[in-house]
Amino acid sequence: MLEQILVLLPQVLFDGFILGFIYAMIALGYTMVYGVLELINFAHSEIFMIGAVAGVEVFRYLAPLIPNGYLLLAVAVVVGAAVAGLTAILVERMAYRPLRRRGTTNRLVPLVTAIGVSFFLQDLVRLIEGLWHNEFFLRMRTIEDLEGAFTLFGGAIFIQTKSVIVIVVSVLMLWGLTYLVNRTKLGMAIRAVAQDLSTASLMGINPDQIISRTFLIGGALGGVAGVLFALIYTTINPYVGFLPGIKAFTAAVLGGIGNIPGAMLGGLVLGQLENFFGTYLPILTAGNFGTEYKDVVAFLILIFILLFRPQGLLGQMVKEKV
Amino acid sequence: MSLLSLALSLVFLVLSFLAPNTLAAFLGLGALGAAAFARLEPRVRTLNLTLLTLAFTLFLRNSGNTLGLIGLVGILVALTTLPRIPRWIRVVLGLAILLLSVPIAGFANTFIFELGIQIGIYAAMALGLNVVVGMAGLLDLGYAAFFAVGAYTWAIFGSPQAGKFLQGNFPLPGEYMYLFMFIAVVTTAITGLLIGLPALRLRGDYLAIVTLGLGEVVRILANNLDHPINITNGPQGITPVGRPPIDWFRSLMGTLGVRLDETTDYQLFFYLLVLVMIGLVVLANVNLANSRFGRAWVAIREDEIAAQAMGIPLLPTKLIAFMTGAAFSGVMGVIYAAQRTFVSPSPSPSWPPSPSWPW
Repeated sequence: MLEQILVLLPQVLFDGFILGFIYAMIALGYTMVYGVLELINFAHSEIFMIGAVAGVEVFRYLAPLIPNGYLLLAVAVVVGAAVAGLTAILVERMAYRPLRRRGTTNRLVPLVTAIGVSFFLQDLVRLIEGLWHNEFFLRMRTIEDLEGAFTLFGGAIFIQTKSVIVIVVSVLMLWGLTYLVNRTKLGMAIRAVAQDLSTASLMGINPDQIISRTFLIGGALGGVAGVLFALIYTTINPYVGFLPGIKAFTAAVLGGIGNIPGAMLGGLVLGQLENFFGTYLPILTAGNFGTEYKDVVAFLILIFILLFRPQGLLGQMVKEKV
Repeated sequence: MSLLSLALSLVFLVLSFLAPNTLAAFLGLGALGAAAFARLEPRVRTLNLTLLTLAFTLFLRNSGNTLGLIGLVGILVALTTLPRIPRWIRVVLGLAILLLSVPIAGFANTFIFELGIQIGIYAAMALGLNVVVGMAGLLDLGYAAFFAVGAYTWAIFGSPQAGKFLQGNFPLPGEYMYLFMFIAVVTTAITGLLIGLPALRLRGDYLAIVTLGLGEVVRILANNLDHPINITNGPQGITPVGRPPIDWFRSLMGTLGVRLDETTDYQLFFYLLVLVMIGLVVLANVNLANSRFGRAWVAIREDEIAAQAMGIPLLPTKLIAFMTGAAFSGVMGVIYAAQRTFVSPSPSPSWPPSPSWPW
């Protein structure tokens, strides 16, 4: 059994990284919104799903026009990011901002609103896709250029070209986000709003505008993650966002919610753990408990983290004032 | 204004005899909107609502159009929320809608019975959730997990399923459903304890997300516990789940002069059972709210630290709230399983097989 585990290990680690990068990109959307608004944006999983659907549609309609697969993917990523980002802004404008204006102090109200928005977006996409193509399951069109594969270390790791693309794109996005948040004026404004909204507005920052842009950036990242998700897993549907969304939130909590490097780290760690248990649970339990229980493991990790290190891996403990 | 809205209601009443179609239903809903939102004298409004109740009932009896049910539910909402309607009118009209209008409509279109039962089950669950979220302020997004546990409790033993992993004579006879309503209270309360013990140490948003995750865990378990031991029969679900024999109910209805056939007898029975359950749950809710625990829950909701300072043990009190809410949900789960005679991890066979919201 040990030998079996060791033989699979390099492949498991590699696949875990791909899953981890996708979780990291979604988790950033959760963590940034939580940073500025202290709101769990449940609708973010649907923003991710909308990005994935946009990617599928671009592949469907532009594949005959654009012969180069890489160029097509680039277009899909841009379109996915734009559609998802704009949806995120719209959601903020139409659902969360009116609530903020009214000054509701009850934390449950925005949370339940977010759940409502999430339902609405799921079924809206289902309706649109139903009317447009009369399809529930959307299949990503396969493009020859992107279907290659090669092996490393004498066949120990099997790598698809797609996986390399996912890793390159997500590393670029994560690096870009880090640069944006730490080195630009907009990033400084976002950090200021996250630290203290009312003081930031005294310093000449328009909080509404910054919140809107935070939603745009988080949504765009989620959209890119969606396109990459659709590229790898090929079949999606309007309800596909729920599990990646809740696990990305787990990743954000794991890293320390509100903390941007934490969300990246949390995503990678959760991706590794989930892939690890998904592969090894059937081997370790002699087939009695299958891969399906990997989600259970993810949620148990969430509970343990929250119980024993509520501030997360990289977060700082905030003392509660009475 | 008053005359106009009365005229609208009367036109709908006439239409429900002459042309009970979709257009008429929209007119009726418009009349209901006018009766509820226009500036009317309380007396005119009461008369208007009474007329509309009659009109919607007749409309449903003549057409069986489900839009009429929306009208009846709308009247119920109006009766409970609008000010300055005499209390006895509220009670009489409300009871008339629940006990007469819906069954009358149900005999015209059995789908309305299904809807009525479903609405009733949701209402009773919402009342249970009111204990957890409303009184104790614990946002529990995994509440449907308890419903599932209750439904599976009866489904496994009320069908041949239990014979797959236990020795004995299964399925149990249908009368055991009543017993299992109590057993479900115990099993769901234990599930609530198991989920609550780790989850309730957390607060606010974190509690919400953890309960959501654990609710999903229950769904995954229901989906996958068909191996190594076949307990839940996996994604295929369990069918047929037993129902209690209702000969006494048939003869009772016979003496009251209600004629039943093979489909409507169980539907009417479950509809009335759900109404009785709602009544019991309301009673329990009101009594709980005024009990020692109810006051402690409200105190915790308002300010945890202050409540703790007043000597309320936080975790046990929250756990009791969690388990009480879970028990309400579990009982409704048993009724749901028996009424549908089918239980599966996803709400209906046409539901997307992919992950979805677990409540």
